[in-house]
Amino acid sequence: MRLYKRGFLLPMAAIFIFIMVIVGMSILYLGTLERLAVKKRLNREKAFYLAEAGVYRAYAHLKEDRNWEPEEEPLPLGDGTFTVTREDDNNRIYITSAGQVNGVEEKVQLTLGRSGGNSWSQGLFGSIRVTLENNVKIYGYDSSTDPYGNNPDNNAQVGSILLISLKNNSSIYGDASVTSDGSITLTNNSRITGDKNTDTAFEEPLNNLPPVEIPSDLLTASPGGKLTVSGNNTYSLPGGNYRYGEITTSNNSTLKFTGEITRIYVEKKVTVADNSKWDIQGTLILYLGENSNFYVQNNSKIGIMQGSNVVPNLPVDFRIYSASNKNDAVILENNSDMAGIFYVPEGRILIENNRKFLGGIVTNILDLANNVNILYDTNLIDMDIDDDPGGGSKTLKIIRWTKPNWVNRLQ
Amino acid sequence: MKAKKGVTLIELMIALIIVAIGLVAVISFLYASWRDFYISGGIKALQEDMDLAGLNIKAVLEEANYYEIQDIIEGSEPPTGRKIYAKYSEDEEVVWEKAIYHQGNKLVMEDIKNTGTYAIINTLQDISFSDAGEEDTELINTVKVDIKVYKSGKSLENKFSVKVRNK
Repeated sequence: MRLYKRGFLLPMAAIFIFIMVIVGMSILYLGTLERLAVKKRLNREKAFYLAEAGVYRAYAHLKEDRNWEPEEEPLPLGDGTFTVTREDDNNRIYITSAGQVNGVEEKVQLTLGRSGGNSWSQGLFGSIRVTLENNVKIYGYDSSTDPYGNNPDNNAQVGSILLISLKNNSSIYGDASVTSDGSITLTNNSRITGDKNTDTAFEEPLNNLPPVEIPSDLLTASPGGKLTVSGNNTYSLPGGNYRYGEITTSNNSTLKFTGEITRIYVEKKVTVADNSKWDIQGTLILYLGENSNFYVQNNSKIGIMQGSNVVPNLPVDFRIYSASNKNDAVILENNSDMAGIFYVPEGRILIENNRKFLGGIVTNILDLANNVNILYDTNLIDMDIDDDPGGGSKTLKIIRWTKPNWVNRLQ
Repeated sequence: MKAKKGVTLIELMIALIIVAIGLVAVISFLYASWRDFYISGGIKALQEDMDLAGLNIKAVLEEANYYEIQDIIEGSEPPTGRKIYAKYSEDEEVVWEKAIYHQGNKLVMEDIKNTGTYAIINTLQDISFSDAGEEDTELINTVKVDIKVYKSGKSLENKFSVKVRNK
């Protein structure tokens, strides 16, 4: 009977199909793995370029507005999203962007800093000339670690478009730089310990120092006439904005600036004379008019009062912005000590006779004579000083591009 | 009682022929699969070496702010070298300093600052670096890399460019 007949074809077909299924599944499995690997690699590439787009977008925003803050939520773009974060540290901005595509993340970081120059990168700069005569010494120091300049170093920076001249035992403990149109001359035992650069291309704004513009709120402040303090008296000026025709302190008097920030516009003349003192307890910003003079003379001191002594303030806490084009725009002489930053782009500054000065000077003509010691505050280089006409460009440039996940493996 | 009917010779032969055809098909398919798997395994390993080499070269060059193509091949135009030196420095201080070059069948990364050398891959046949900016001014600060890896008779070649972003 055919019912009991046993065939070979069915088991053989079953075995054949079984083997084919196993082979097919293996191929499918390997193919899937390969496809996943390729897809992940593609996603990684996409995530990287998304991250890079994120940092450059942030950079574009920050060039327009330094205070721009990135969005907190991820922003969609293409097949994924990117998230940007911002960190600020010591005049640098760190922008990190994480691009994400299907769970794959790549990060790119930009370090941003101010582009171009900061005129305080040259400690002492005179567009026309810088002259040192009769035992003048210029050093460097760092006010962030040595506020009183007790440890001068060899990091002075002296610059001029046309001339740096050292005479009679004068020294620059650091570098001197002029353009290819300029010259550096040394006579009678004078020396420069660092580089003598005679083809320097100064960064802006040193090539064309921007003029001082008196802020409109000071120009329109009510005129205070003449402020005079003399005869052992002390006068306190609280913080705020002021406008005077003249300020004179003399004869052992003291003028105290007690506020956090004091801004003063003086139209004509400031005289700190005859052992008088200025006690700057916060920050003093002095704007001087076109026909102004600033004199500090005869054992007078500007700084911070500690008992009866005056110790140097941080240079950034006393700023002079003078629009004067006079030959005696600023004169500091006769044993008077002070710290500050002076920006006098059109006038002349003369410092002479046993003076000690800490900070930075940018001017048209700078003459130093007779036992003057200048300490250039190297901390000014990276400082971002608000409203500083000599502070250089505030636009940002990329200092460093990194992949945060890689950078530590490289160093 | 009715006698049991056996399979005929023809039936048996047909079944055997079908089984034989099936077996030949399966075996040849399995052999082809095994051979493909073996070959693709080797190529895959080379691809992984290529990826690893590319990743290291990119990581170094992308983050450098100075590079120099060295060991220039004589007569090459544009100048093409077998070694690339790269570093990143800030305020005249060298943060890191590396060189990548061909040594035997190895692609070697030398850590010049920390004094160390290690092999990135062991299957390198040839590598060359050239400055893409020499041929196209729009590709300034871009390094062209031509790399060939080889193992057990199989080889892979790849060309890619890296933008030196900090320069």
